[in-house]
Amino acid sequence: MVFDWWTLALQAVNLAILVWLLHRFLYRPVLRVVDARRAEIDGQYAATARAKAEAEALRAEVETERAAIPADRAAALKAATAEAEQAATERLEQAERQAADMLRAGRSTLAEERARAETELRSMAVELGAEIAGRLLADIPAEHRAAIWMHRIESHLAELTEAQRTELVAGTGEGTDGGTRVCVVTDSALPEPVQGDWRARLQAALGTTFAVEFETDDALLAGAELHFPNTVLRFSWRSALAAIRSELAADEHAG
Amino acid sequence: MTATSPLASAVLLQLGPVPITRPVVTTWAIMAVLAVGAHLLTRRLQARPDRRQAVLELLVTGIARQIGEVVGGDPRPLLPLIATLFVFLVTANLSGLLPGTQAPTATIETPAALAAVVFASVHFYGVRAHGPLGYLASFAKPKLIMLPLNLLSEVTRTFSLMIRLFGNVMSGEFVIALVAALAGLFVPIPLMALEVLVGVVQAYIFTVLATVFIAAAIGGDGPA
Repeated sequence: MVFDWWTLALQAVNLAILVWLLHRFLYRPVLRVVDARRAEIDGQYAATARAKAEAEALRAEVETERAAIPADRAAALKAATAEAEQAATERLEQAERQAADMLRAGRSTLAEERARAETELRSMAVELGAEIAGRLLADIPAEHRAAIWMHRIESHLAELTEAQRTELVAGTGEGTDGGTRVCVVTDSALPEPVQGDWRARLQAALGTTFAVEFETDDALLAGAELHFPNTVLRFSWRSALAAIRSELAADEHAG
Repeated sequence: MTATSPLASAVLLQLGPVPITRPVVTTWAIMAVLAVGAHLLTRRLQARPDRRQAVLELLVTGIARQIGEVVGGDPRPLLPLIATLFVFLVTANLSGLLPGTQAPTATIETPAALAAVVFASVHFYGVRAHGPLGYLASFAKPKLIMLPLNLLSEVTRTFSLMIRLFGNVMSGEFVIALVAALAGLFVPIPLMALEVLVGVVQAYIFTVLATVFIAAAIGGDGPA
């Protein structure tokens, strides 16, 4: 038996070469295909697992939503009921407010109309009273009525101070070129004797002499007005009625 | 007439100082057949394998699974060496059944070369797994007194690996040749069938033992 070391070495090298050849042409291609198939299978498994997980999650979500439906329904009904009740309450309150406003406006209008009617009634009463008094006064002779008004004029002038009386007659004169005349306006023409009597009594009351002329004005209703150069003294019912109307108007505005 | 030893390898040609013996040439032929066959078989691999590809995948993955069961880890790093050992041994052992062909493993140099490669691979993978010092320290386990025995076992198991393969294949071929010379052409057929079984079994034993040796070196349990 002869041992050939060259053959041993060559066979060892041959084995090494064969390992490389089979690795190159057999194991690597086969393992590559196997690995690719395994990766594909793993991918399909993973996709299946993902799909299953998604399906499970979807089912859980659906079950959760289905379980929440009664609660949502109850909540929705409760919310709708509360909303309806609130709307009804608001409408009721609004209606009550509107009714109260209308009632308040009606009362206000009624009060205004009542106040206006009262004012008108008072004014009419005043005018009616004046008319009645005028008619009654018409039956009295002019000299008698003039005496009444003259008496009142004298009383008023007597209540004035001396300085006020002097101020009244300032600027007056006796005649045609002595100064301005005092004009006495009455509701009806005074007879000549009465005019002379009024002239004398006015000069006596004011303590001086001055020219006096007489005029008539139906609008006075009754009474007389003394037109001095600087002022006018009214003792007529027209002025009295005007004062009453002013008071009524003041009361109405105050009310 | 000169009497030649049946255990001697015939030199077919001489390349300088290198004699090219019959086992070497037969091995080259086997290598060519295996490489070309592998290339032809793996040219058109598809994701959906046909029967041929399925058998091929079954062979490769089956060997890989066997390696993985022995090693207990990833079989890919060992697959080229171990699978090539098995495929080559099966082919080489059965090549002796062809008329006029002698199995390369029937001469002592080829099993010796294979055993030497296994011996070197064991230490290569052991050093790579544990480092030089760690691997050397594994020879002193479980006790330092075991060091000589472990070192001796490294040699003896490699020697037994070589002799077992050589003896089985060589003896089978001798028996078949003797029976064919004495009894006629078709008488050794049952023996040849038995030799097929022996060739496959010996290839399996050699491969499994090589795997066990390498796995033991990798696993850190020390030399088997």
